Amino acid sequence: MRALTWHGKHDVRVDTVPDPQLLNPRDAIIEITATAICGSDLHLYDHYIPTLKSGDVLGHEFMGKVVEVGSGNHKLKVGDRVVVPFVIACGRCFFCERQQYAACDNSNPIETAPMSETLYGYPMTGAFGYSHLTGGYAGGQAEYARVPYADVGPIVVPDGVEDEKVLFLSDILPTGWMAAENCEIEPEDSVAVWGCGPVGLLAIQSALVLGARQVIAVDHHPHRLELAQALGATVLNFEKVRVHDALMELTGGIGPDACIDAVGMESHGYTLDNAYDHAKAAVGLVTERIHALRQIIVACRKGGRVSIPGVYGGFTDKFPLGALMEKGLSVKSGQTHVQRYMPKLLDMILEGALDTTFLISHRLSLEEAPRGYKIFKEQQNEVTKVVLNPSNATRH
Amino acid sequence: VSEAINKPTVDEAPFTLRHPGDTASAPTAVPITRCTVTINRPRAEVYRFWSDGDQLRRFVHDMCHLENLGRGEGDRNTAVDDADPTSLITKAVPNELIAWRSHAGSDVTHEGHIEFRDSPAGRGTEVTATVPGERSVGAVGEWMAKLRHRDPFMQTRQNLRRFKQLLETGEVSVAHSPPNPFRTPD
Repeated sequence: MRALTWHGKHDVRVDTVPDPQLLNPRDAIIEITATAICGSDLHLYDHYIPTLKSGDVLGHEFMGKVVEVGSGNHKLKVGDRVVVPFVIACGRCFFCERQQYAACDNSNPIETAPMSETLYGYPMTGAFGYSHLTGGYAGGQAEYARVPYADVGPIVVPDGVEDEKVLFLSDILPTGWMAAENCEIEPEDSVAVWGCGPVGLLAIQSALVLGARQVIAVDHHPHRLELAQALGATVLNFEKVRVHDALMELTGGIGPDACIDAVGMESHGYTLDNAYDHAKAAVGLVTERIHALRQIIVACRKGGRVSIPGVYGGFTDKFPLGALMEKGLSVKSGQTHVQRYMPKLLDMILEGALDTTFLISHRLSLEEAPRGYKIFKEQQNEVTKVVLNPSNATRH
Repeated sequence: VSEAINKPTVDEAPFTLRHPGDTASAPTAVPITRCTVTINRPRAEVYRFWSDGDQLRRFVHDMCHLENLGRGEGDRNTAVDDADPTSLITKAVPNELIAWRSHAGSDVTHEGHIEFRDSPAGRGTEVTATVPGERSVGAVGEWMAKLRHRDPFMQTRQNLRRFKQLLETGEVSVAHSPPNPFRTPD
């Protein structure tokens, strides 16, 4: 089959690789009908996430048709249309029983679990196409994918609903939703969102659905700010205004009740602290550039809530711990417990309460995926979401 | 080994977790490694699974080369590896403990025991394996041990994780499909 494979920094290619096979009883094989490039895939493209290997198949946002089902999988049947969550979860461990699917104790294989255990104290869950820290599972920017624990993760979608309407259930919609939910929004709240990429935009949409009185969006790409504005956000271009002062003005001097970091480890901004992060990252002293998160912790109101869906992988420096403690901020973060949110969000899509298709700016074939990565990286204003279509699948 | 771990220690953490060089608080001259996992299944089921030789083969890859454990105290066990003749169950308390040691004629000396107890708050079963040997210290030590496949803690933990995966999920998680010709060899 054809698949998008990683070969080094800014070097991804579409190669012919072996077809996936059923390896365990609860597996399923999916013929992929739609898949997307995620903003967090750019962290792989930029080689900010360690433990990638040349030839790894990337992609963790995908959906398709079930073509093969393992003997122990009693949920799916051949022909089902499913959206696959990026988190691989067994559904039966201590964490999965508490719906903390992104903390699954079993899905990261024995051989790879010690890597994240060394970094984070405990082994991370498994995930598709996202380095060997999360298991080294082949991803879904391909014609086919093997889905482990497929009786827990994939959600069956009804016929007649277009792929693009439900594809983002795989990651960014639940991620935006959980980011907003982690803000514990009350009706009078102002919520500020840093980063108007796909997750930030869906967090804005979710915060409004969850009842925030005011949502303020911070970015510097005019088109992305337009999309945020169209959703109902008040927008701030950080290249044109002093963000902290503007937030004070917009919130009567109190500050935002909750702040969302939808930026992650590769923060932009021509500021002294960002230059410092760049310099230290260049020589390997830090792995994260956290300018946005610093600004968030300082800008959030006293006693406020900070939600971090943005991806971080390692270590940072000059973290404003004093502001965090002295102001009594609460912080919630984490990879998304996708399986927890999928059924409810699917219902909301089917009822018309949520529509995420406005994000899609580019539709490419799988063969064009390397170009998709390049334009998503280099033209962030215009390119908001790239959806790939691996049609004409040929399985050998 | 069993007697040693019941001796009082200087604090409430297992003495196997003492800092390297803290020999004063060690109740035994023989270094011992302990490793615990919580398995989200009832204790009787967990004990039964460990006692089943066919199942044991699926998750114990290098800890003790045993099979057919659990027939009863005093039973000899056929070794998986022909070079490793037999080992002996020295103690078996149903749903609580299985202890073993290698037979006098064995090429490989090994012993250990595994304990089963109910996890507090209904979280399943806590399983603790205890084997001789000292855990590698520091990144370099762990790396060397990994190269030599000799770290008793890592080996024990991997076996317990496979045990847990099989009991909880019915399978052992694997990521690898057939070799990818485009992958750089490790």
